[in-house]
Amino acid sequence: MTASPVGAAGEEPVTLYYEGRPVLSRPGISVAASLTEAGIAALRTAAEGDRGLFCGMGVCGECSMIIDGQASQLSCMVMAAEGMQARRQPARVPVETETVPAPIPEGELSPELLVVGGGPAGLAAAFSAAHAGVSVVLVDERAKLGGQYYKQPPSFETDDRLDAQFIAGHNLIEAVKAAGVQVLSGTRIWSAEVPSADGNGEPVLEFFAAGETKRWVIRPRRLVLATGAYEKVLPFPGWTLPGVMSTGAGQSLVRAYRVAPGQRVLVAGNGPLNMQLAAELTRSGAEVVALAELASLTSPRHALRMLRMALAAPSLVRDGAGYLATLRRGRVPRLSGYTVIRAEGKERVERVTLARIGLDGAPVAGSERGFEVDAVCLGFGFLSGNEIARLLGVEHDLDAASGSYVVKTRAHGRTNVAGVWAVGDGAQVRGAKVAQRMGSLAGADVALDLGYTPDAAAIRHDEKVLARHERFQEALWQVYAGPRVGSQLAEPETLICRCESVTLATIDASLDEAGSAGAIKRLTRAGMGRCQGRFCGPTMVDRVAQATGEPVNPLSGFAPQPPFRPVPAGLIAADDPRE
Amino acid sequence: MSSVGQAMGGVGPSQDGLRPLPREADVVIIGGGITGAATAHYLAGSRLSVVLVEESDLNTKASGRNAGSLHAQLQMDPFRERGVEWGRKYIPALSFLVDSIEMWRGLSAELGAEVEVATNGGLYVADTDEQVELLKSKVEVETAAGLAAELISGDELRRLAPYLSPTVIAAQLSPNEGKTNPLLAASVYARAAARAGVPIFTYTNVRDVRRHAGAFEVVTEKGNIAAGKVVLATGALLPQLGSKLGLHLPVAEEPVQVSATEAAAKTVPHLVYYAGGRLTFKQAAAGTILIGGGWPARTDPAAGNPAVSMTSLRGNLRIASRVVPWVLKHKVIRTWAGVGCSTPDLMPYLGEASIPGLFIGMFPHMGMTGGPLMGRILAQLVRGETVERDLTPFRLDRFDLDMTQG
Repeated sequence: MTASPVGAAGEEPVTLYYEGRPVLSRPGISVAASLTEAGIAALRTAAEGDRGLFCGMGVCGECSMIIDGQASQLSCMVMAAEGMQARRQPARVPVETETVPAPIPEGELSPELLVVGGGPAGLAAAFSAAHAGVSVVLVDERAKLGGQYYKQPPSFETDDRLDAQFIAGHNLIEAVKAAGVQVLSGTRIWSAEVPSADGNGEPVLEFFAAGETKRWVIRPRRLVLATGAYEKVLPFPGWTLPGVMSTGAGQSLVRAYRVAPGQRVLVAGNGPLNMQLAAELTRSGAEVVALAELASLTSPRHALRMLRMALAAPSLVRDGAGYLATLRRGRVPRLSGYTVIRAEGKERVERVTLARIGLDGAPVAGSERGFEVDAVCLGFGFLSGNEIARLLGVEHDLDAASGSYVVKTRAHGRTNVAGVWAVGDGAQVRGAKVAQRMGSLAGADVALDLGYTPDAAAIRHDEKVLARHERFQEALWQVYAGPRVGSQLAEPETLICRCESVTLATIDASLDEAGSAGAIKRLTRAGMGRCQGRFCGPTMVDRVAQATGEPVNPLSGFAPQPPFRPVPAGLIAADDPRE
Repeated sequence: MSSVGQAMGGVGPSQDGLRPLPREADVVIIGGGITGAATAHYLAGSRLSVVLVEESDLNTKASGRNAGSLHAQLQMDPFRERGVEWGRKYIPALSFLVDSIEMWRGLSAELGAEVEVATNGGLYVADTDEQVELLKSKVEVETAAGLAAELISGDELRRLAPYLSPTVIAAQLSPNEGKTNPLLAASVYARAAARAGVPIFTYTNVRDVRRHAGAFEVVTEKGNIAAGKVVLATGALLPQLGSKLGLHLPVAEEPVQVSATEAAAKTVPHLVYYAGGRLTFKQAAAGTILIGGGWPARTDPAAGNPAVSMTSLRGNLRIASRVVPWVLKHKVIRTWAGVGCSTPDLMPYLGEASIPGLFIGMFPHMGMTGGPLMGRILAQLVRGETVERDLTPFRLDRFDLDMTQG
């Protein structure tokens, strides 16, 4: 057990138990973060070994633990509490046939506007609509508002390392609360009815929401989807070892819980979030053994792009320069054009190998470099969390470069489905600043649509700022344009489907029969587990496209079906009229 | 493509560049579900040249999307609605299923690949006296026809299945019943057929079947195949091709849905039904608990595909919890919708059509269970062999009278 270099002092400790052993933690810290701080990485047991914290945002299910006797608790989302008993979850959850769960009452809500997601886009939409007089319910799956970008520290009042990002988030959250928005935190929309229209042409919308022990049917007049994105992590040998996690998971540990992912952390991937995390880790005292960026950031054309970025969003460029300065001061080695190709270790990651990546997305022989680590954070961009939008019939395009769906946008986030707006990274991955302005505009547009009078000057201002940030994003991703890497780093024995432990060799063997990702799924079980194919789906789509020569299209992946996330049957089942 | 695939006789679209569609064959099988794939397997090894064509991937419709139940008893809904008389008339279909399950038992060995069959029996459980009475009369009809079935008491039931709710008071035990993994069998049959030399063409949509000088012309989007004989194993799509050949084969598409939980410790060996509501409840070899029972899916307005109905999902889980309350604690990971098909009398179609050389097989609702025997008999019919079973109740022209009457 090791003391964390980043823990904040001055709070009453909380004792929880891991496999019966006491672990000291603090209030407001997730179970997974508490265990990470104590040097424990193994959270669940799969067929071939233990798994650890991976996505850190409740998507992948790798952190599923048995907590106080209840299986399949996402330890990245559940907060540590005094006396809590956490155990590694076996590959098959235990069955207690004596248990007769109590019926869970179902609440009903009929706000004028339902906002799904409590990140920058959702908060801004909720605020601007509520500010104009609209009654708003905001549903957010995290325990605390803020989403990934504005996630808040355990104690805002006592934290001594607040930066501008924390403070802006705090202010937006306070404004949302003051505007009278009804917030359901720790709650997920797990299903929806297909929209229809009533006799007056008004949209008829119906959503099903579940918390841990509460549930609602929500029938709003309008909907703003601000569901955000989840991180893309590429499969490579060893990526399932405990200690290998997404950059977002690493950042949640550092920013939301003030816990370091490890003592010797390597950060790699593609995009500016990796640089920010490396800087935050360095500033908090953790050792970052290297920061590897897939893109070659040495093109002479970058100077012009940087200038364009500086003009569009000077504060973001200042942030970037600040991160770089921190990394220089901390003497963090920076590798450009490199990424992780292998992770090794016995019970958790102990070593990683990096290599230069060629234009074909494959490692360049002879370029390998090894590092001793106890944690790796990886981020290769983001994929939109769009299952609700797709189920509702919102039209999407496929962005071939990223493999991500993009909502066919109309002004102010309006979609083709009457009564439904989609904003932020859930609609198209363009970062928090674009998300927030889009959210604000969508909220005002909803208000207008419902007959309220939103602030016209605010709308003009938002439009202007949005345009600037869109220019920034465009230039940014030109700078970070790297070779397209799909499954080139995986070897035949690499697990592609983490949930069902399906290897690349098994998936490839099915390709002599399967002509679609759905057919691979049925033949191999890849994509049938807790993450519902979110992490293996893109690889399967990629392999099918390679095998058949058919280009990837918007129907190549899995069609969204309820439940959008694993939900206890007790939260789904209809009330029994006999009870 | 992968060398493994080629060695096994690849069947997928990735193989298309490697072989053209044949211009002629003795037999063309249309449909790559379990019936078509089983027929291909049982025809392979004869001297006939056989080709199987499938419009998308193998096993994508009813065969690959059901809950894997192996049924061998009268289902409660039709028994309640149509009565004892219907039950008696249905007996030939039921004994067909029993014989097909006998084939399922040996299938993994026969095909040299695991299809995850377990026949630990089916339990139709009851929690009211009214339900028990219905089960009694159902057991009478089945046992009178010589089928294995018995009514067991609540105490016996709890000894046999301690995972059931204490509120259940009796059950019909049908020892022949069981389960399989619907993801596997059609594919395993198809691979066995491919190994034995039957070329399988997926993503080959049949646009028309024409009668042409005592033979058939199978018109596909990849070219035409002149065929001596044709087997229609197209499930719910039977009426479409059937009507082009002037056949009246009423089939109602009834999309249904199934839900699966996270993998759980081995607990439920049986196939469980409930006499008080639509339910099938079983645990797959992978540990997931499959919850179904014929709850209707909706049709997606945009794509026209079956899609999950919320009303059915919520109702299905509520009904499941009456019999197995602990399931409410388990997380549902997936719910999926698939095509199901029905006939007016719930009996299968099986036989040679009024057009010589045209063979048809379709078992409504329980096509998975019936698949192996359906395939074997279709192969026998195609080869002109004697079939040791009275196929009269399944004859293809039994609804022709309805049509002429208007």
